[in-house]
Amino acid sequence: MRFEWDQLIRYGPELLQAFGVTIVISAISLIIGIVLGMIACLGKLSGQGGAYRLSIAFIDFFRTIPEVVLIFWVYSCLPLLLSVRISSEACGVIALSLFSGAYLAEIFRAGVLAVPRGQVDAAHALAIPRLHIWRKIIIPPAIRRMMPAFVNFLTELLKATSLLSAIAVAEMAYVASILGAKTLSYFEFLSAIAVLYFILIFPFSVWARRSEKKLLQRTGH
Amino acid sequence: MSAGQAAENPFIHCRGVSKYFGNFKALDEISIDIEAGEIVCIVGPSGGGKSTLLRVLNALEPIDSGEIQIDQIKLPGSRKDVEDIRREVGMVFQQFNLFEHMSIRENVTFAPRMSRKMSTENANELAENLLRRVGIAEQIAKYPNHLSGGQQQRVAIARALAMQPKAMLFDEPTSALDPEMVAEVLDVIRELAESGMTMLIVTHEMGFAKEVSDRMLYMSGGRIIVDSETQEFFQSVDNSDLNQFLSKIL
Repeated sequence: MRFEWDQLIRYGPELLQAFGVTIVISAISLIIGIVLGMIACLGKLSGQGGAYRLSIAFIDFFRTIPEVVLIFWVYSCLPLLLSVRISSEACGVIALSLFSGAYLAEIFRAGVLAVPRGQVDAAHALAIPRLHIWRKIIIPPAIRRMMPAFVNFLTELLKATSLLSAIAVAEMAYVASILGAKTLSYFEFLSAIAVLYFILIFPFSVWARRSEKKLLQRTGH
Repeated sequence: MSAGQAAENPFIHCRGVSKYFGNFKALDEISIDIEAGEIVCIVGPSGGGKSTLLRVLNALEPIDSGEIQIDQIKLPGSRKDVEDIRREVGMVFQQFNLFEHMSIRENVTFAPRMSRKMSTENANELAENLLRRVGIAEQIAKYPNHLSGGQQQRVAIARALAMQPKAMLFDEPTSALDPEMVAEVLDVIRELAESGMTMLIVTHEMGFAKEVSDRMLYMSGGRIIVDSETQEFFQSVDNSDLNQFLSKIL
């Protein structure tokens, strides 16, 4: 068996386009997920009332069901429920946003809870208005503390986009399997996307490890 | 308001203040008046309610019953009342609680800028003066984790003073310090005492309490068991509970 470089070169533009789709879908899902995650995080931190219960339900539900089930459900059931047509790309973004929102809510919450309570007490004792306490006392150290987990999640999200091949979103995994079937050069295309995923994700894992080390040095625990 | 009324309106006034943590009664019907300029040291076994008393006075813990009045502002009260009280009453914690991601200068200027709307320029000048007063002006550009415990606690005192409070609450300010750093912090508190600041100090430093305070409270089981003038407290108070405590600690 020989590695057919010419197949890769011939279909290179399509693979690169799929690489772009993977990035764009991850980015949009991440942004919506950050917004959902912040809302659910604040809801859960509120500790009581309707917003609290709703946030807990959201977080527990979307962290518990497998991503593939969520993707299929959004693709097959949501259009029926809403009686609208939704493109497979939009379905993918919806599913991954819900998944991101639930995970990020917990990551954000852990970051906020890791800020030493005494610093918040001290800010209250200094009559600092609540908004400033959040902006200046809680959020900056919380972001530093949640960074490793956040970047780790980013790698999970990038990998999870490959699941969207199941609903025919033209991201890397889908395009590679289609091209493989068309040309019978599975070996070339699947190896190529493995390398592309690695190039995409590995810097983030390094970043996560580095930021964790830095955090340990700063806080000493 | 006439002078006669002022005397009937102590700076800090508590009536029947109770505080529960779950089923644990941390404060049990506390009633006490503290006059402006008075220096009161609070001693007693841990879990006796000393820290909780300070925390309710600064509205860090809401009270379950009773009433607190500080400089005519009542608690429980609106959010504005709570902020008004906190502007008048500074607090220093056992663990310093400096803002770790801010420089010493920012730690001290933060509250006056955010809460008193002071200009950055004026706040910086105030911070320099206060840090000079507590003897660490040269550390102003550093971060808290580069300072020793004693230095951090002195910054924490400067930070509280930056709000120009009328009273200060000290919650075991030297308990987390290495022994060789206790004196430098006590010196700062002593200097404040001489300036006429109203102060409540929770402490285990009996020698310091005896020297600096006008009045001593002994708290245990969420109650004030003994409340007397300092001299009397150490000489003639006849309370078996207190005597046992003192014999252990002195």
